[in-house]
Amino acid sequence: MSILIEAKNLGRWYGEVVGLGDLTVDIEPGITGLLGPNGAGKSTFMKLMVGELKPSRGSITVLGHRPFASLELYSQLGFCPQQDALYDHMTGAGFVEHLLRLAGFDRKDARARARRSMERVHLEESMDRRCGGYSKGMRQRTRLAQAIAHDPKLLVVDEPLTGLDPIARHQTLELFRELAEGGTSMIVSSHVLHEVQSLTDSIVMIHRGRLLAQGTVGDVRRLLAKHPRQVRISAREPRRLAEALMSMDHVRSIRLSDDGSLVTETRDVDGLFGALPALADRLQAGVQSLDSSDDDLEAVFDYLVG
Amino acid sequence: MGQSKFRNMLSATALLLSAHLRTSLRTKRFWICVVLAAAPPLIALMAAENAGATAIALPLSMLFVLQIVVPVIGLLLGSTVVTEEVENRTLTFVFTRPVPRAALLLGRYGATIVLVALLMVPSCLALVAAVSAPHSGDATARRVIDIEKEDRPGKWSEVETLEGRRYYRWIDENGNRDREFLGGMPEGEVRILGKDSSGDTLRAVFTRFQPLSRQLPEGFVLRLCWAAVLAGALYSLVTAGIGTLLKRPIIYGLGYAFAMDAVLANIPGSAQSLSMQYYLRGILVGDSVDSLRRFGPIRDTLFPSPMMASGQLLFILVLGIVGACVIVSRKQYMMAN
Repeated sequence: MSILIEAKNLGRWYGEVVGLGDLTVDIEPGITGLLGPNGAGKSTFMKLMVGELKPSRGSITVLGHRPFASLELYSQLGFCPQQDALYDHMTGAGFVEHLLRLAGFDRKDARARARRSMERVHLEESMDRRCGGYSKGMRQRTRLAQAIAHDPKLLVVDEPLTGLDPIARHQTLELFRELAEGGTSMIVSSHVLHEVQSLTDSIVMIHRGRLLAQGTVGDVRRLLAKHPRQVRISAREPRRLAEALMSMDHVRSIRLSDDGSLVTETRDVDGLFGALPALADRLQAGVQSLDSSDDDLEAVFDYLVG
Repeated sequence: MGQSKFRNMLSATALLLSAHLRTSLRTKRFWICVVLAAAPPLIALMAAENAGATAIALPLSMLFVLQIVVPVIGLLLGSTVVTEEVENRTLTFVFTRPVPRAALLLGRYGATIVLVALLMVPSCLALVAAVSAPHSGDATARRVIDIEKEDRPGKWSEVETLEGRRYYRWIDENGNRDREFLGGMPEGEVRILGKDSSGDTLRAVFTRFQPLSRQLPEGFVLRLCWAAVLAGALYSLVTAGIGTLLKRPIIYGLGYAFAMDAVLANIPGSAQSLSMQYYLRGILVGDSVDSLRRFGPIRDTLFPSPMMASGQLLFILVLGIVGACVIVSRKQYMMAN
C-alpha cells in the first residue's frame, strides 16, 4: 500500500470551535511526525485517524478503511492517546492483557504478549503493580505498551514523550526506531521539533486546523532559518561582543538582559554560530554559554502564517 | 454479522462483564447498595413481632423494595455502565479494539444485572425468612373463633386478613354476604352476631387459640425475587441508556423513578399503566391471590397477570437494550486530553 492515510478536505469542529479546518494530506508508510503548536489540531486529526471522532466534512481513510468503528482497521492499529487514563485498579501487565484479550487473543498468548510489551517499554519491574500507583511517566509508557502489544501495522502516538524523563525519552525513541525497523508505520505527534527530528525526516505541520507544510525536516529547518530567532550569549565582555555582532547583516537587534547576557535576534542562526568562535577569540570576549531554543514551534508557526 | 465476529462479540462481552463485575465489587457505590439491600429484611424482622407474614411482606415489597430500594440500586449501578468509561477517559482503549462497540454496553450492563441479582435475591429471601419464621409474640397472638354452625342454607367461609387474622363470612344460598366477623375476642366468649332474615340467631363462640399466620401466599417468594431482579434490570437500563447520551445520568434517572414513575403508579386510574411500577405490582400480586388484593392501596386496581406483566416489561427491556446499543455504536464520545 502506497498511502497509509488519505485525508481530503478533512474538517472537524466542536460546535463553534474549529478543531480541524480543511486538511488535505496523504501520508505514506514509515514514521511521520505530526507537528504543530498546542491547539493546532494534531489531537483532533489523530482522533479522526483512529475513529474516535467522525469528520464534520471531507473524508479520511486509514489503511484503506474509514476509521469510525472499523473493526478491520482496529486489528491493525495501535493508538496511544494523550489523555492520562488507565484502569487504575489493574496492574500494568493486567491492563495490557485485558485489552489484548478484548482484541481476541487467548489468555496465554495475551499474558505473554502483555509482559513482553511491558518489558519493551522498560516497566518489567513495575508491571505487576497497580496502575494507580504509577508515576506520570510510567503511565505514559503503559499506554504505549497497550498500543504496541498486538504488533500493529500502524501506530498512532499522541505526544508520546510528554511526562517522560530524559532516559525514558531516549528509551522510547529507541523503541520507535526498533518498531520502524520491524516494519511498523507510525504517526507521532509533537510540538517539539527536535524530538521528532531524531526519529524521522518526514513531517506534516499543521497550524490552526490547517496544513501548513509537508516535507522533510530539512524543509522545516530552512523555514526556521529564515525566521528571526533569539540567541542568548553569556560572556565576560558582553558590550565588546555586542558591538562586533551589530556589524553582522543578519543580526537584527541586540539587548543586554538583566543577568548580563546578550539577547541577540538573528535571521541566520547557523551563520551566527559559525562566526562566533573566531569573533570571541579575536575580541577575548570570554563566551561562557550559548542558548538558542528552537523547541517552541509556536513562534515559528505564527511567523509562517503571518 | 459473521460467525467469527459474533463469537468475538460474545467473548468480548463476557470479558467486559467479568471485568466490570470484579471492579464493581470493590467500589463504594456497591457497598452503599449492600446497605440498601439489607434494609428490607431488617425492617421485616422488626415488624414481624406484631403482624402476620403477608401483612408485612406485601406492603414492604411493594412500597419499599420495588418502589425505593430496587430503583435506587438499579439507578446507581446502571449509571456507571458507559458514563464511567467516558468520565475516566478509558473508553478510547475499548473503542479502538476490533470488537463491536455494543459489547461494552452489553458486557457492563450484564454485570449490572448480575450485581442487582446478587443483592436483591438474598435480600428478598431474607425478607421472606424474617416474616415466615416463628416469633416470640406468636404465643399471645390473635384469638380466633369457631362459629357455631347454623342450621340453615349457606356456609361460613374463613378468609385470612392481611394482618394475619381470620376473617369469617357467612354466605347464604344466594351468594349474598350476610355476616362478616373478625377474630380477636377472648377465649370462651360468646358473641351474638344477630339474626338472619329468617329470624334465626347467629352465635360465635371463641374457643380456639391460634398464632399469627406465618404463611405467605403460594409463589410469593418467587414472584418477589423475579420482580426485584426485573425492576433492577429496568431501572439500571434507565441510567445506562441515558448515560450513552448525557453526562450525570443518575440525576435524570432519579427524576424519572421518583418524580414520574412513582407518581404515575400511585395515581388512581388508567395512568398507572404508564408506569413500570404498575407491571411490577402485577407480577407481585397477580390477579388470583385474594389475600394480597385486600391491601388498601391496590384494592381497586386491576393488574395484568404476572405472565403478561413480565412479558410487557421484558419487551420494554429488550427494546431499551437495543436502543442503547445503537446509540453507543454511533455516538462520538469526546475525551479531553
